[in-house]
Amino acid sequence: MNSNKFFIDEDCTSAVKNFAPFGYKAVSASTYFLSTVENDSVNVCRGILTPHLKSYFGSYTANEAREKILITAIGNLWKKIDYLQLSQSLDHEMINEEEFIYELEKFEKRYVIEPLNDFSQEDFNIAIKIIHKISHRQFDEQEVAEMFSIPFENVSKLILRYESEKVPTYRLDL
Amino acid sequence: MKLVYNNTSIECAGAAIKARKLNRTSVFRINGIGVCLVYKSSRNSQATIMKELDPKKAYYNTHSALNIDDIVQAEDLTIYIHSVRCIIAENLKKSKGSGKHNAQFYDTKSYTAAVVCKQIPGIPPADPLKQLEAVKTDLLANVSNDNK
Repeated sequence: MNSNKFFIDEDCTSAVKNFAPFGYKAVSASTYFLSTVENDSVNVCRGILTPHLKSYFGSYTANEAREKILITAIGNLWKKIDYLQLSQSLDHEMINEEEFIYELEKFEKRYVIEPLNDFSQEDFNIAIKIIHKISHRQFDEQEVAEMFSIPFENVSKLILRYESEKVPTYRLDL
Repeated sequence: MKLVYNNTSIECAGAAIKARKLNRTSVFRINGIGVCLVYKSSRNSQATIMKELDPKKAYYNTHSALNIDDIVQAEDLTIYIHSVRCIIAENLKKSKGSGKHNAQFYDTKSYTAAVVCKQIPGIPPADPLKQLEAVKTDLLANVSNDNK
């Protein structure tokens, strides 16, 4: 599996910490480091950070954040499907109540949606953009929380802040 | 107190739930409570507090009703019950709910939170719109301080 990591730091701390083992000691704020991890080898390249490259790295970060949230949503969807299949087998008397509880407690990771306590406002804004692209259905706040693993007690706060910080969008009539 | 508007909620240690339709949705972990089974009740749903929380502290929202006999009534409710024992058809009591319509009844015996996700269509929306206010946890306090 390949993964890319890059670091742009004003104080250079994370770049120095991450690249010190590979022999890099000093970086400046206008320099970029890009590391590609391919199997067991790490390829590192560096260069001057131009505005063009900065925007490229910005969109890369945004894509990575969106991907992380989408993977959470897919995982939670499957947890829901697995739970509903289990409860369906309870309804059809294929398993009894004790077996249902045993299954739920033993394979907790498979069924229980865990809240992400570090879910930030930026993550929520991305989640809302994803929600708006699903046109066939409207979601209430509990469904959004379930989908993206938002902690139960933070949903209202995040919605309130989203509503208050919402920037009006302007349509360009060309 | 009777709550009917969107986003209003009750939290208690035991509630009487009445709904014409009660669907299982998911299993969700709530910080400070534990694993809860989530249900979606629809078509004239209602939840009444039968047992208060001890200590009387809201987990979901500071505006949640916490007193005994507080009722939340809506078209659709999302209900969180802290129990791995799933509600099955055998445990539901079926009898007359309103007029000629049958309803399903269930009494919970552990932490229960019921949130209105769709209010009764005949009731006009709250004016001004009911403000949401989350529980002020340490995590959220830090976030709001950073913002300032």
